[in-house]
Amino acid sequence: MWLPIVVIVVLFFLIAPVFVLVPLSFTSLSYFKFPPPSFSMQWYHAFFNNSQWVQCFGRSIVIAALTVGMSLVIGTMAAAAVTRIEFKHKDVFMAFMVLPMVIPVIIISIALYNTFSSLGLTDTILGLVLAHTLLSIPMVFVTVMTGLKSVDKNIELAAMGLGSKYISIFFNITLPQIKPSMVSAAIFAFSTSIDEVTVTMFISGAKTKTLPVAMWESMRNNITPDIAAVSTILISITLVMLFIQEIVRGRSAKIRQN
Amino acid sequence: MFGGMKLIKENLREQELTLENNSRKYTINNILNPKWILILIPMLFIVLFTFIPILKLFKLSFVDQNGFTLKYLSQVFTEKVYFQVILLTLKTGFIITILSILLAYPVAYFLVKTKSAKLKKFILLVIMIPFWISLLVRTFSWIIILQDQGILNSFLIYIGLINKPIHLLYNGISVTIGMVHVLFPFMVLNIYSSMESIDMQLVQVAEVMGAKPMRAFWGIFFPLSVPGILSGSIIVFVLSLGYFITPSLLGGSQNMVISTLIQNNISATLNWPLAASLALVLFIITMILLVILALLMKKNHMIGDES
Repeated sequence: MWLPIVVIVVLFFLIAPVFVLVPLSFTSLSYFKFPPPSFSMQWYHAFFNNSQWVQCFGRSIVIAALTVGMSLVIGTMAAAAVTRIEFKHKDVFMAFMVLPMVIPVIIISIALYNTFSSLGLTDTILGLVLAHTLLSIPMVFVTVMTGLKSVDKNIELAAMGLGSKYISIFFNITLPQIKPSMVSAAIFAFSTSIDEVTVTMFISGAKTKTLPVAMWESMRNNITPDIAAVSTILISITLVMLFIQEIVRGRSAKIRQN
Repeated sequence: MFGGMKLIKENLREQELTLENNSRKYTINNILNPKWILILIPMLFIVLFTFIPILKLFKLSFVDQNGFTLKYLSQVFTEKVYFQVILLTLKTGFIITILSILLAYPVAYFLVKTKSAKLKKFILLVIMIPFWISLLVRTFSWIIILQDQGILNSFLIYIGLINKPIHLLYNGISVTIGMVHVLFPFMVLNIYSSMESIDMQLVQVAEVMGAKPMRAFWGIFFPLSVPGILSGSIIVFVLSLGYFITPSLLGGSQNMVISTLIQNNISATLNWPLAASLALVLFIITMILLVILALLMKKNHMIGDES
């Protein structure tokens, strides 16, 4: 009898912080009172009228998009190497590909800060994209690898026998079959980039501040409901991405059934 | 009909020709073989932007302008302030791990026991939701729940349990709550997956043979779920050692952990050698624990293969 009660309490602990934020972002007060006495859109207006917030938001989106592109290319290459080529020390190669996920992020942060400042990559968009890409590679690599393992290699071999080149085989035959894993990998990379604070804080500067870094700074100084509005916007972006993923997955499952 | 045969034959000849061409091309462009490009580019990227930067960082911990020195590394262990930070990090990680087990075990057990597939799916969804939401957003949410005029204090005062706000934020309590919230999914998914592989008939047999449910649980089910608890604990413990955002935002000056001390040494005191030494210590602890985890998982696989 006690078991369901414990489960409900634990699940409530997990979910409560999310449910608290969304209504608070619509509060009419300038401080946090729960539940809010009346609702207004003022904190969203404050967000969109604050040029710094909007600029950082735009910059974050651009960096995340570039990160998705770069990490998908590199991660897919690595996944293709592991699943399609026989070579020595494959386990070492795989260990290297997941390295950025295994090492505590604070160590990567200061290591990159150290190296990037001597290369002139701090406070540049390129530096941030490189950093976010390497943080995304492990998840992209693992996700695409799972997808590639499920593809029937015989179709690729048949195409090769008919004279197609590796590259055209990949784009015309393999890629359409692993679309769902590519979409998941893209979503992983996007959310890694758009949430990243620790590394970004070290290597970004006044010119390249991202939305999470701006949030971080404002959370350390004074806590106002416009952060709740930003948070709600971020939560909705996540929900939209999960929704897209479900649609792609559902569609490809249907095709497979037919 | 004969025309058709002719066409097919011509097609075949064409294909043979392209096949020959292809094989010739690959022998000429052996260096540009896609095989090597697929391996080289990702490898180069990780080596240039992760491996070498980290080696360069660690070098700072034992090489300064006068050459090799162990001054900074020994400082980490001999100076009381730094050593205490390491101890506090390990202690916090330990408490977080224990709390995660206590919260995750009942949930995992319920997931295995429940017969409704819908309920199972729903609970797994709730467990995964925090996973997807920005860490910063979740941490922010704990700040507004736990602060002195926050939701929890207002609620406790409203129901008359306390009459003055209790300090929950910027101390060990808030760090622990925030971290357990972040790391809980790792624990519950690990325990759940190991429980899934337990043969429930064993428990039923014990009960049929007259064991009370409690004894069947503690004598049979629980020991079989220990590998999941162990692997979950190592993952949670390792992750807790390296986390930066949560302790930095929810902790006070008294709750300095290794990661926040490293950041402090870079941004405030510019003491690179000491930060690098702390990073090296954190790295070694992490790697040792991960090797243990790998061995543990290998052993479990072997047991699984035997049965």
